[in-house]
Amino acid sequence: MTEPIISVPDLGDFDEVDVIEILVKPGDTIAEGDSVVTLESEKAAMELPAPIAGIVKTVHVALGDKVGEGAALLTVEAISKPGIPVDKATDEPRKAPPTQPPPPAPPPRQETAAGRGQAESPVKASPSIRRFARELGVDLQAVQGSGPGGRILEENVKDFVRQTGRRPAPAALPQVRSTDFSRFGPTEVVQPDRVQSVVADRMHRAWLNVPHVTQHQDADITELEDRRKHLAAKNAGSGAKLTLLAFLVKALAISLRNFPKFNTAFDDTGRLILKHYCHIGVAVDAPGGLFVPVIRDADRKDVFEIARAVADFASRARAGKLTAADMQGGCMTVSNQGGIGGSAFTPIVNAPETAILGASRARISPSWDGQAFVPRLLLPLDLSYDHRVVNGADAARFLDGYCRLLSGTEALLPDTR
Amino acid sequence: MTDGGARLLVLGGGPGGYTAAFRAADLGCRVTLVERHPALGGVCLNVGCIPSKALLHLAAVTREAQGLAAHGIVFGKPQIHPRQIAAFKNDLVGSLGKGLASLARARKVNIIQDTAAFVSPRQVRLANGGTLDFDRAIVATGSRNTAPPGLPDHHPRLLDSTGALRFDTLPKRLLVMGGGVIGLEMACLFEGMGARVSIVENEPQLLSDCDDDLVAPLRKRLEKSCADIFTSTRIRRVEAAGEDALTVWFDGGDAPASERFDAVLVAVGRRPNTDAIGLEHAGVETNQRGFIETDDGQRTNIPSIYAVGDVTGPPMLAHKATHQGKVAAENVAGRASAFDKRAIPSVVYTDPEIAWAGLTEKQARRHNVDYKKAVFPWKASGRALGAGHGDGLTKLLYDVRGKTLLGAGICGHGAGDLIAEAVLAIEMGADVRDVALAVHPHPTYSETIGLAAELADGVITDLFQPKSR
Repeated sequence: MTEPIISVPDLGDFDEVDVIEILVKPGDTIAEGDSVVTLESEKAAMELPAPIAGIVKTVHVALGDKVGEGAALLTVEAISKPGIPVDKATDEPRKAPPTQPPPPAPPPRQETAAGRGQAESPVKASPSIRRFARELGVDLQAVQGSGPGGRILEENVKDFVRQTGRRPAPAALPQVRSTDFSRFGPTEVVQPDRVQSVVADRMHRAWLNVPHVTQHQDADITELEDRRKHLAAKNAGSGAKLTLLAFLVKALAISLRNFPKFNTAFDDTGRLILKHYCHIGVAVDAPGGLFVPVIRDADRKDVFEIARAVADFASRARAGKLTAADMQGGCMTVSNQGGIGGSAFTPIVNAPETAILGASRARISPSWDGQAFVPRLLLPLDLSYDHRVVNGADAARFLDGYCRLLSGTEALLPDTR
Repeated sequence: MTDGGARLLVLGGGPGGYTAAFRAADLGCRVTLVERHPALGGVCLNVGCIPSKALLHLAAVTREAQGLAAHGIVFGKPQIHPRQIAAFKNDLVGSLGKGLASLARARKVNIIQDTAAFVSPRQVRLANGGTLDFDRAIVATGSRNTAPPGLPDHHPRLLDSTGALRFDTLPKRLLVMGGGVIGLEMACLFEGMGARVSIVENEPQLLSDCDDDLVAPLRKRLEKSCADIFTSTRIRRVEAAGEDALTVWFDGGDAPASERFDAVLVAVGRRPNTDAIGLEHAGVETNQRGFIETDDGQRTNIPSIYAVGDVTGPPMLAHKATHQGKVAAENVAGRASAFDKRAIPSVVYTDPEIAWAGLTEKQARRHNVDYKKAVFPWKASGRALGAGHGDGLTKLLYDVRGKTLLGAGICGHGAGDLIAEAVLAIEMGADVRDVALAVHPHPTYSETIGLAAELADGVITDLFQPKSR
């Protein structure tokens, strides 16, 4: 019997791709669907899932190798793994009748890895360890025990999970229990794609680690919009459209210079790192998901340059052609939902940044000018910040100053740079 | 659903049902339990394990006291007052039932005294009217005695275990039909209380699931104290011989053609209570023998319905039902729970007791399992000899290569309590060295387990063991 080889599947448009990450090593036990290597094309990186469960015998590729369809990646020794029973989704009877556990059970006669049909000793694990493994979906046959006589201990199960990448939830965090939603209606299961997984992971980390506060204020952009439209019309045809977002980025760059506490990172040893550069991230809603490309040195760019950079990023995001480098190094992020709607939201800080600015849709509102209500164009802004770094008063000052910048317009225009 | 957790309906208030109900309530489910009898506890508490063990205790002490004559202490002939004995037993059952009721109240489990039958996978109809909707149901309706054909319809002296445990009369001449666990316990009970007991069994061996060597000491004692033990013998017919007696016709073995008895106790098996609860309307399947098949999470083929205890098949044991009840309740509450047991102890509360757990030799032969065994005879235990219990034995079965403990069987005084150590050892994945190296108190019956393990490990000094090749 030959051992199964996992090879590179059909890659679509690409003849060859780079191996940028090898996630397993010989001796590892992999479950069906576990990622084994990460391949990167010009377009995207993709993790390759194992088509079968088994124990990795040989890894045939090295980091940096270029591989094409059919190239051997791994040789594995197949193992069969009993699945965890899952409640069916409907009231329909199960097709095959479930099997009755035969208590008192004779010891299992398992096919050994080598394929011989010899009687095996039962796995040396206590009932509580067997329950622990069951809850984590770990097959104890694959776990090496370090207790007396090879007994499997709790730490062995944890180590196994760590090695195979199926992390148990941090002990301190209570889990949201999944419910059998089929009790309420039909359901289906969808695996999140890579981008969504990365976003989910980032957002979860930020949400758990950063004590968030969100400050709200409206900026009067009546004059700014007049000037912007005037400038946009005057420069029509000379490159990218001059958008409000470009002004928001420009104003943010200036605010970061005025409030250096917002241009920081709180590192994992509790130190505060002050940044003497000013790169602004811009959240882009693309078909492939949420991307945050970063505009370098926004403080040294004028609004036309910023507008061109944003337009370039947006088109590349839509084409799936943003690189990792495009999305690194941000100091603070702008998330502009003005094009969609809404009156306020509470953005999550893109940690390890310290703050994020959200903008909703500008609206004409009555504003008291001292004598009468006059119609003004107000832009609702939301500043979420890391309260470990920034105090409420600082945040109020920051946002108020930011609003003044937008109302004043002068500081933002190219000739005053 | 208005608020709170899933609405769980439990059918049956025996050990499986009430355990499931209590565990689910503790995990946040809103639980309704339907039980046809006024008290919780099922067969086990009301007409099974608990009253029979209380009465067997009386019989065993009586027998033991009489046995002291051989050691120089002579008691008079015991005076047995059935009515007083029945009152003692009823008080015991009553107080335990009250305890369960208070445990249910404390958990706000809603108990309805009624019978229920499914009308769909989400609803039951109650016999006294009305319906109940549920998100999940656990079937724990238990089992009942069966009777072979050819018996008189109703006769005051034709008893089943429930009738016998009412203990309103003490027959002088009793035939026990069935040499299984219940039949032999009843035989020991009435024989210990002074009845002349005969036992009749279809199979060539008493306790046909149990290994022969464990049954042998019991059979030997029963042969002395019982009138007859007829194995490989069928009953052709039973007829009333007036109000106070029955005539039984036998077929096969050494049995006479017919014989007259004051009472006949039928203990030929139990069948699951799955026939009158509308399972077909919920779509729940049963096998040919009427048992509901489940997976190791106690799920039936219908996702909203679970089953635990006797309805899921043999062994029909309260302690199996309670563990299954917990598994079902935990799964209903969204946990990943499984009935993953390596050893379920079986105990026969005869005199001497017999207990076994995990693998038996009969199973090993049937499934072709390679095993070794170590048997420590109680003749070599000072404690057992001193108490007149030298007829027992302790046997360990273990894996040939790893010497992992696979099964244990004990015949002798207190075997049912002794077996617990073996159950723990098997569940923990212990091998015979672990058991041998654990210090057992001397002189005790429990020591025999340690000594059997030493025998298996080749380190025993209490016996002489020729060198293995």
